[in-house]
Amino acid sequence: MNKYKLKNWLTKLNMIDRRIIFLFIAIAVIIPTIFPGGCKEYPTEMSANIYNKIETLPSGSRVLMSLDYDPASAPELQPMTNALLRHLCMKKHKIYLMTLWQTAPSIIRRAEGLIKTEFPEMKEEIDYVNLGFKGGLQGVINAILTDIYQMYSTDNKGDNLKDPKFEVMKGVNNLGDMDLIISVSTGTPGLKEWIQFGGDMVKKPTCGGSTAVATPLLFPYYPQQMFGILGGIKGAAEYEQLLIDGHKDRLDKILKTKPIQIDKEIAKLEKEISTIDNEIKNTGIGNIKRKSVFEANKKHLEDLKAEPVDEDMYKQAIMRMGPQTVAHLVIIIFIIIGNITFFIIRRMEKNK
Amino acid sequence: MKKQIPLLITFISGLVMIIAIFIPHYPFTKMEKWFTVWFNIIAVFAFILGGGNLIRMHGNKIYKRAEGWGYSLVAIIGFVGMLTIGLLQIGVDGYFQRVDQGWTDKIYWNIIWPLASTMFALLAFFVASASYRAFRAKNVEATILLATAIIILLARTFLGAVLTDWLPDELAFLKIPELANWIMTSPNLAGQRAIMIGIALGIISTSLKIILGIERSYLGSD
Repeated sequence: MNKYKLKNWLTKLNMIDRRIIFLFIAIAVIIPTIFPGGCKEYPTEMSANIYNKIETLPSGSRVLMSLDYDPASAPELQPMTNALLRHLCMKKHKIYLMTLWQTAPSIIRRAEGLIKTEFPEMKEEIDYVNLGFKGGLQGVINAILTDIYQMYSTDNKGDNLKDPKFEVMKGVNNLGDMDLIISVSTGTPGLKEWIQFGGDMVKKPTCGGSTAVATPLLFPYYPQQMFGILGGIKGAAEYEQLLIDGHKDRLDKILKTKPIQIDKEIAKLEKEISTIDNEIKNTGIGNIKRKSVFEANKKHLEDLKAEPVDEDMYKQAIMRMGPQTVAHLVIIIFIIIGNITFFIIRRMEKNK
Repeated sequence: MKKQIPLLITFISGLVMIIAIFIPHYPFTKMEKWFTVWFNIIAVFAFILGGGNLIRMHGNKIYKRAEGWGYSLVAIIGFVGMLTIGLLQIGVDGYFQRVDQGWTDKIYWNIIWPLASTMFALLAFFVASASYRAFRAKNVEATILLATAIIILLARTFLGAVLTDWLPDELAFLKIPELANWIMTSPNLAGQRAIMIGIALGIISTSLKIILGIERSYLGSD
């Protein structure tokens, strides 16, 4: 091949049509998705810090968990939410679920579904509560800094939080009464706002998870204001690995009991719905808001029933590392090709 | 008075919020709470303004048959559709429909969830294409950027640990996960802190100008 033709060919390769890159990336993601496989992950200091903190907190500690993300980031953040929730439930901590994003209430319902079906020993109102969504962005954090009831007078179902049945709210008056603050977030308001307006103000340990693109922006808060962060799907995979290494027996037990528990929960909700319907029929009055929550929860559990219950259930992030690994390799190969062609063309032009 | 009153409101609100940080006692804490709650209420009204602006902007495009008016039509149909379902409580037996109930919930799981995930996933393709064109070792700085990018790309996979696992303990700092950790917690952290402090100083300066009435662009034109 003469020099002119070689240079021509290299120049074309150097300025390759981006659709060809898109095609390679698509193949790199599709093949590992169709033929999934996960490898052992090696946890980093950040993930290990969060794991050790939850592991060593005394049982029954109060953990506020804010799920501040939308469906766009759910594929990346849902696995870490699930892993963190499982760990909190295994250690029998009190969980306070909430969100600052209007697109996240359904995501909290998923979290509730996980607790109900995998950890039936965790009782709503006694061990965990769903505080739901409140508008106001970081203003909500400011408000609950001094008085949580200023923002949250009821839980997600509309029940008064000051009712004695809410044992989980005993002794909780403001954010300072929490032992740990976790925010799984993708933007604003998110982990940064929880650190700035929440954890740092009340001097409570704060950690969380974030998408991979947003994680480097949160490093300035490490290690003083934020003791750990799960960065993207890699962070989630590391946490899942830590859970598998530390609590494999418990996870295997969940696989056996989850299908039975889903059926039990659906039956329980049907009974509650029927009770409210009878109340309405007999007296003309019934808690319709509560009924609609139960119906939504029942629908979610019926969808959950359709999902397979196997080992992959608690390895969601580890499985997603396959496509990420191959895609990264493809990007690296393209970068190397681009640099090789760049240098050869530059040398040829110098030698002219 | 048209300008004086907003300036006075801005001055008082800003002053109270600042003082409440330094003197966290009554009456400033009480006033800070009031202002925070009032801010939340005003923010809700801003949604209505935003919605109105959306309809006006896209409505204009459709009316004038401007370029891309079809997309504006889709936007308005989506907006009006969701609003109608929410206001008319479609699919919910009761007075209080929340975002996770009825047809709103169905649309969330069957339309918003897959569409939003798809849009975010498209980023991967553009990142790959941009990486191919941007990461060229043209000079020293570009070479450092290139090397850093490759280390981080490998560290975000299991290969990063596997490829350098064979290194002896004395050279453990050269293992890819260790290098990536150092990059994120040293140069990246330092750079991000510097940028953050710069931005914070800029915010303080702009905020003081707004509170003191020097910066009045938020009042709009006469």
